[in-house]
Amino acid sequence: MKRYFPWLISGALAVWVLTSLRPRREHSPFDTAGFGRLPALLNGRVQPLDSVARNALLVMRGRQSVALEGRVKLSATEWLMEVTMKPEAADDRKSFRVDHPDLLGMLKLPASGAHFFSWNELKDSFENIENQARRASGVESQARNTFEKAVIKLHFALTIYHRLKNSLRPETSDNFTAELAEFQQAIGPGVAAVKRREAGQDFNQQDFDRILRLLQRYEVAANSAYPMIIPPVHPDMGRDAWASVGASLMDTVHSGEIQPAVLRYAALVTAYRQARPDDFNRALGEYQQWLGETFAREAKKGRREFFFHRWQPFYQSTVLYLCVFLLGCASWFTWARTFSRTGFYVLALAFVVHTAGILFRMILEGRPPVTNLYSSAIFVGWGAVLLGLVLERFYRDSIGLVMASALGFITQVIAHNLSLDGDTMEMLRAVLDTNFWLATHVVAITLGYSATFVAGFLAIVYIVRGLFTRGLDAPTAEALTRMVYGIVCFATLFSFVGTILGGIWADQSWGRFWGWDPKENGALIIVLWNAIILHARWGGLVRERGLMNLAIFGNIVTSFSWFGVNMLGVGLHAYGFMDKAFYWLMLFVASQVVLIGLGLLPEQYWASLRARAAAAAAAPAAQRRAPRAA
Amino acid sequence: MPAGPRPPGAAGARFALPWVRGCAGVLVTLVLAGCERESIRVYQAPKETAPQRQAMSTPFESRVPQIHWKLPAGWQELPAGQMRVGQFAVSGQGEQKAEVTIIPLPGLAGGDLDNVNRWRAQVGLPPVKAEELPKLVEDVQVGGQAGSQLYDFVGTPYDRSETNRLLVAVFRAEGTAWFFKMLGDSALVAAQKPAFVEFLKNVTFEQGAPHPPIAAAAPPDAPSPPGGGDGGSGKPTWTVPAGWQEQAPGPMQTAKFSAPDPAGGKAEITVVVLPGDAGGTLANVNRWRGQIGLAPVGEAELNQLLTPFEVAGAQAVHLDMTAEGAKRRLVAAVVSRGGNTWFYKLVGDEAVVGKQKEAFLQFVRNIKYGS
Amino acid sequence: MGLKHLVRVLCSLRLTVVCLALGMILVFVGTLAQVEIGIYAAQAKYFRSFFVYWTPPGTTLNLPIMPGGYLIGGVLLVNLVAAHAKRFGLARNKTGLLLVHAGLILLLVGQLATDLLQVESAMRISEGEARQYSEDQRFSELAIIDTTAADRDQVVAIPESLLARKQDIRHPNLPFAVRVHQYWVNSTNVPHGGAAGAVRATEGLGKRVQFAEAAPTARMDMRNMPTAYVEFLPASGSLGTWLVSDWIDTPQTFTHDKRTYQVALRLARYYKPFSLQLLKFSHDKYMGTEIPKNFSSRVRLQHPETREDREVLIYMNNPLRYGGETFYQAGYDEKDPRVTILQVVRNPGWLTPYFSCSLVGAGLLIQFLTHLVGFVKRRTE
Repeated sequence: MKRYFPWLISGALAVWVLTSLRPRREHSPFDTAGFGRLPALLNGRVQPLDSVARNALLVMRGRQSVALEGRVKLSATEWLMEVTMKPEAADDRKSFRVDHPDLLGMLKLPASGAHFFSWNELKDSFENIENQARRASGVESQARNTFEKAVIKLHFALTIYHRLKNSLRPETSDNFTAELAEFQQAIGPGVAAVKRREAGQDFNQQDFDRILRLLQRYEVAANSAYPMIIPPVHPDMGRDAWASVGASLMDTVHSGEIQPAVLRYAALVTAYRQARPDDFNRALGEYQQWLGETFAREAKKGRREFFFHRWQPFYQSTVLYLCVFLLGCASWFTWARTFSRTGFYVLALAFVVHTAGILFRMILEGRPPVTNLYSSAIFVGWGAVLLGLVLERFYRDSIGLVMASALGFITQVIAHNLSLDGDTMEMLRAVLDTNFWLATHVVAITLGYSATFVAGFLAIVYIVRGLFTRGLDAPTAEALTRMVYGIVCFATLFSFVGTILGGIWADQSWGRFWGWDPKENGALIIVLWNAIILHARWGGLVRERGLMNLAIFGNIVTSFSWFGVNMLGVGLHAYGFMDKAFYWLMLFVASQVVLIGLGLLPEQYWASLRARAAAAAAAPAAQRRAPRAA
Repeated sequence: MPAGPRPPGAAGARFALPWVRGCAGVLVTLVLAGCERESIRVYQAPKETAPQRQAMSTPFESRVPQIHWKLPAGWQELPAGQMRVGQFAVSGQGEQKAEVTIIPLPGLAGGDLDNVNRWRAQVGLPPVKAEELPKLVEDVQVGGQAGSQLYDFVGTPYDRSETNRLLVAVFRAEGTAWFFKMLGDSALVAAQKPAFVEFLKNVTFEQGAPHPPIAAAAPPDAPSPPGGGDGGSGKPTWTVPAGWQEQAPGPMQTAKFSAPDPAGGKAEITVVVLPGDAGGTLANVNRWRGQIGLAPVGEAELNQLLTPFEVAGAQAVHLDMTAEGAKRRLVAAVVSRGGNTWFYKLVGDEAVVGKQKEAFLQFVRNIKYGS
Repeated sequence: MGLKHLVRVLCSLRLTVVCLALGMILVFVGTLAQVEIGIYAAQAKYFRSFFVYWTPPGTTLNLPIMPGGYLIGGVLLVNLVAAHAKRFGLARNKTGLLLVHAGLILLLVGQLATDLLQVESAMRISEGEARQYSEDQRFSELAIIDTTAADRDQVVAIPESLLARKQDIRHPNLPFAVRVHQYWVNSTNVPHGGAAGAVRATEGLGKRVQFAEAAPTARMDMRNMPTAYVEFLPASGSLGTWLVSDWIDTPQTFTHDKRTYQVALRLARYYKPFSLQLLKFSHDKYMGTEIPKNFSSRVRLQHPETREDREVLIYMNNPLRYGGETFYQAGYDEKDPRVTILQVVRNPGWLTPYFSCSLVGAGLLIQFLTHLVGFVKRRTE
């Protein structure tokens, strides 16, 4: 049993990973997956409608789906289909999340129970929300209190919802296909009437009024549209000239013909509203075929990104890290070798999934792995797991497993919270638009963060095991010391090189190698701290425990540098103290301070050291000196 | 990693001391080198040509304004620049700011569409079509006379940047269009709108001033603007190619020619000059494209359409566009010179334009500017 | 005895750790301070000083409470040189360490040189316009321009720091003295009908326009607009008291002794022997967003003396290096899409970080690999 245990467990988990790659079974007669794969342009990049839906939902309610009565969940794409094509149904779905008690009070909504509300429930308070939001946006963003932030967030969510409603068709149109037919008829005579009016001749007032009315309608739709779903008319002249339905219809005045994409979308909309799934699926198939002819690249991107979001590799690796953590800790109490090996295999599996996720993101974005805060969190975890696997390979004592899985899990949770702001694959600003520096400076610095955290967490393992268990015997302590020391060297190398590369990049970009910018200062502090640890060790100023405490302090330093500098002006101003991320950062720092305090406790409180002293006293002939710094 | 073997203290000190001294020396040199920043500098500078300067070298008081106003409370008058006869700053609570400017431009008796779209772009609104123009206009009194247009644009807040609001009043009289603009923070402008309207009502114009001050203070090497009663003193000299017949120029035009073809079909050549960049090349090109029935282009495609070409003393580009369906063709040349932009357009039936293209480009090349 | 002791301290590892720790604290405190007093003031107070001073509330004492950037950096530099010289000299097996320390020394010295010698300015050019000067972005000068000559102007530029001293200013190139009656670091417009100040101008624009003193700004996106009242005093009599301000675009003119002069308070200008003409500025944003996709400026570089005349494309991460200065694509004007803003930097020490990075990187890599190899050898024994 023990022999097969590692393979059984890791095999079962591998099967679990693989089954998620299979396409999901549809429980709707409409081809929602096909619709979700359709490409659109939003935030400057081509993405599938499924991503548009997911990101919108994340911003509006913090989840990527909408819960209905019973245990049924509406997927993001299904929700989007309702909002864009049948808003009467969507307006009853609980799409919005409101947490702030003052805001709930103002909207006269119940403060207990789930905090999800529908458009209809909020409808009566729109004017109120609008006024409050306008007043709040007049306050400087750093000085806003939590109510103001909450009302601005709600207003933004409502705006997105409203704009989505106008994205596939003007909101108030019932039978869009029929309306477009009418529009096509009206174009010729209408344009003629306008020209005659401009030339001062008499014209047909009716034609003129009709075209003006229709154009005004489409202008409103064009201004409100959120994603641009109509592919460029002249793709050879520019592949990012996507337009909204409204804008495309307004352009029809010049070209005389309604764009085929608009007509196809109209067919989709009408079929959905009239509950004719076969017509819907057929129109969808035709559109996909048409797209494949001229816009194969965009369609493929749509399919790939759709697959990526369905697969959720980072969620899977999070679960796997949890398993590894439990296995690693368990191995210290019983079944040491078995659990250790199992943990190693599962960690390797998690690493593969994690890496695959990163690689897939790189392919989707066309960029090196770290481009924003979200991807930096993912990468820090990845680096930590890699180091953990290496350490475990050499030491085989589950220390690497526990450290790697803890860091992997925590960073994934951080990343998930960062993704709640919306699109994590947004386009990069011009100055960041250089793959070379992104691949060198940013990756080096992120690896430096990774390594510093690894050293810190190894030190936590040392302290926790040493204080509370008897497991920290001399060989383990020595191994941990070497590990921490080696990792700190690694961290110094990468963080120093990364910081200098960042300075060189700044010099290439705006002529200033070092500007004492908060982010630069943060990186500098990490380098200085790692250098202090090394020099203190070399100068004999600290020994084993001191090294561990210094390494834990490195956690504090790095988390400040990574997140704290972004909050400067927010968390450290008088008003921003209750910002959620700042609260968690302070909690983390406090926990590390407590751990350092524990690490400073005199030897008699340490279970392991007591045990070792007892063993030494009982074996005077084979006395070993207390471990010294090597 | 242990420290290396330590040499005896004294020997080590002797070894280190020269290095320490050297270090100190370098530092002191550097510090001294950087200390000479705060002293008076004397240098030669080239003469500034007018486009670089914001105003003339004549003192402020000697310019005679042709327009008088009654300053509302809270507005501060600022020194006006080259094109402006009036400039005011308005402050609201906190950091709210707005600016009011008065700019007269000669000869623009034509439509507002391009200007409206340019102003809309300034506050982040999409452009409108000519058909939608009438519903954007409010009537307003300027100088005690009704019939002027007031536009009110509020920027879109979708991108969450600060919202700007722009009020523009257009007053036309005697071949000159006066633009009164108020641009600034949305809330402040909204609050100041009544004061602005009141200001417009109380503006008075000096009698018999067909030219705004800009003509009097025109930079020496730029041609003075056409239109008004100025006659042709600012007109450049050109050689009219054979086969072109001069016609009466329309409003806004400096000159017009027609080039009929004996085999049927015709083409028309117009010359227009506007101050500044007149809305930008892209907006004008798209307007022309619309006139011959082509879809508009974006900035990227525009670069492919433009071809630079040699014109003495100026920057010029030309372009050639054909609408296949309607068999119409347009060749245009845009010449930037001094503070103005000259638009030369050859438009008409495809075949005729093709025949006249070379003559047209030669015509543009040989134009001599300056009075 | 004392000297030996001092040298021993200078070479010690403890001093290194103390300096590094103090440095860390300094950087941390300096970063927090930026929130309140702005980046430039924080740099001057914490990093470009020998001591950080603190004024206890209610007093006017300036107490040094901790060492500043120059002191810590200086001691660290000396310590680095001394410790390395004393302990390792040029030993072969310490090559890695030698490289690291040499690189660090180069970096520190290079940064100090940059600090002291770097001059940053900006050029704001419209399409079609040619510029021959760049402007400082924070400091102004009082420019007294002799425009009598037909071909060139002679400018005497008085930096605003000299104006701040409020003393009379004389210069051999000026036939009159400049008396500063009033100088404000920052000023604002005065609403129409506001109260008049104590000093009035007797000539020029100041007779019609006024400004009020304002608190200096610490924000990064705004700059101080200095205003001053100056009087020009030739050998006898006075040429009047003039209002000069960064707010005023137009220079004011006066004559004296058959020469015409212009006076303006403006951002300090750095004229160059060549000009840059902006041919085309491209600024693309990602469709449907405000995120900038690329910026580029196609400029024409013309140097009348060397007859150079060529086109250069300046874009993000790709500057123009010419004439001892580097021109970067820095920004654009939100209101006018045909204007480009180039950042101009003169920094003789710009190459030092590149060398330093290579040296330190190589040195650390050698150290690290030596240890790793040793570690692996031991583990696999």
